[in-house]
Amino acid sequence: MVTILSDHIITPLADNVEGTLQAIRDGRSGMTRHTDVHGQSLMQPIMASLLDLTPYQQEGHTTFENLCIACARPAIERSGIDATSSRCVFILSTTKGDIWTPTATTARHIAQAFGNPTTPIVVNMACTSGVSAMLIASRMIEAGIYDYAVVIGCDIQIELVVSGFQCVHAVSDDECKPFDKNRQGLNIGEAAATMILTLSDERLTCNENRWCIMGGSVHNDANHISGPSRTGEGALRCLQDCLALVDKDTLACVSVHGTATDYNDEMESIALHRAELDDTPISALKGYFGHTMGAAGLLETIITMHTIEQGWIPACRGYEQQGTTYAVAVSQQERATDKKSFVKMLSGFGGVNSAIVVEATTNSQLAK
Amino acid sequence: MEQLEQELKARIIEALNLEEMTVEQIDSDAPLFGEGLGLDSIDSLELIMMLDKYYGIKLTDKTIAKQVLANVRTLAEYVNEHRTK
Amino acid sequence: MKIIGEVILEDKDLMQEYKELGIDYPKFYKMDGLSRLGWLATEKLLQQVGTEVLDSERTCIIMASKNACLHNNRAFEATMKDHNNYFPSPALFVYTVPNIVTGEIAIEHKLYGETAFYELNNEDELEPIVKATMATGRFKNAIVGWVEEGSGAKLRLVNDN
Repeated sequence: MVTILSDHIITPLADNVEGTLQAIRDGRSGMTRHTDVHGQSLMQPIMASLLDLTPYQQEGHTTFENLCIACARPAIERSGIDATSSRCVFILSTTKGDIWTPTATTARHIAQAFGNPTTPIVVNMACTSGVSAMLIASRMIEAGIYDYAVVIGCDIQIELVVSGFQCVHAVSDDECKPFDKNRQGLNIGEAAATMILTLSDERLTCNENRWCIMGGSVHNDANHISGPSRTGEGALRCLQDCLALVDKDTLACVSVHGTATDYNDEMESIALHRAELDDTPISALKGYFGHTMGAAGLLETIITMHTIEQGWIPACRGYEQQGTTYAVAVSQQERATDKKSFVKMLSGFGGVNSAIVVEATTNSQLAK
Repeated sequence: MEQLEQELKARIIEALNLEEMTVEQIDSDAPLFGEGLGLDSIDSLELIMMLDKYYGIKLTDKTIAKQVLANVRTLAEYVNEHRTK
Repeated sequence: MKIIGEVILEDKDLMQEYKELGIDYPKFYKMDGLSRLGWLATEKLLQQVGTEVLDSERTCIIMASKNACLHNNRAFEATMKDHNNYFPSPALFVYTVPNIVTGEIAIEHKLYGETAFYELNNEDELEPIVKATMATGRFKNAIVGWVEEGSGAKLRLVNDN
């Protein structure tokens, strides 16, 4: 088990957690109709949640690298870790990075910006990259290979990706509607999110709750390279593994992928039903900032963590009426919770699914 | 019409990388999806793109697309009627 | 960890390699170059060690590469770059993430275990990742591979001890 020492996010809603949480609470989204992405004109306009990248266009590094560095720096500073140590590894979750540069090179530049001497790891497991990156970080730390991990999730959108999602008819012209009867597809988004991890240890803990990654898993659907399993095979197995780590009655929510495509949300409803999680609150966040690709796992985990800490589960923006075979406990209203654990789940191309259990622990629990 | 059917069969083989198949092996009345050639949803999107590229046909309605892509004969009839190039 | 089998496959004449395998798997023709390479190397590895080693729940597939799906990204780009000749290919787009190769293998052999893909500078960097993955005790074995399109694949099957 590993402890989350600190975190930081940059979204189109705000360049920190507090501002993003406030925007979510106010029901605001980052979605706007765009006729270009960062200056690249589009054949068809796209509804997307895009960042203002001008602050990150500086000499010395690419825009993508600068965004990752800007997102990692506050998290590293707050954690108090020594990022120059050879016991610290940088792990980057991205699906495209700087598309024409090997992402291992990009990750190296980011690690070097902090004086880190170790070889970074890039996780590219399509849309599940973020959760998978947190998992491999946990495993490296648990295996004693490293003491600290700086896990960064980030993707910047480009015309190539936009036209790809358009040509497979996965995008909605309007703001996305996760789990809704009239959902039309996903909205593309971009963000950066960072988490600093270390081995859980009672000495780390003060009187406050400490968020820990209890474990998790990755499973393939073994069904199709782009469409999810009609029976939710991989996602079901991920959920079952999570339920072996945490009692479902203690879950504040399952933070689902909820892309608002027909197939994804239907598949998730089936997997949740098969895992007997029909009554557990479901949180789907993409109505606020779209599908942020490599950032999604970290971003949505960090937001869920902080909202639960404050005792609330965000409303599912865009949801109106049941639109999946099984009625999952999704809500258009904000809900209160006093529980302190949740599951974060993702699915992606390649038939891959991943999920982790995140829980707030206290000194006494760790001492056990 | 038969010539168009042959042409479409060749385009299907090319667009979907059905390298082990020949034009002769595709029956004009056999279903393209499901049992027939065993095509999937990405194949169907690829065929829709092929219709746009070579015949200037924009198939956006899912229900119509399903009817048009039933087999090579239905496809040829639709192309014959709606082609702009 | 114990190495059970090992395969090195150069990325040339893959169509010929496929035919020599004697397996009828039409999906092969639809794969991008990275998937063809990783899938073929896996088939060769399995011919060596026998498919009975595979465990539908507890076999893990871990692959890594430096350039990942760069070739396919270029191929997809060629279908959408020119706005006067704009026909983005859905079949190419789905291969613009590199972990598809692990999905192709999982699909053929009905493997519901973990599939993972990392982008690294060289194959040595894969070692600690494999070590940490196997240390979880979740897996009976793993197909571990370095796959570099245009160059070749180096695969092995490792057992948990």
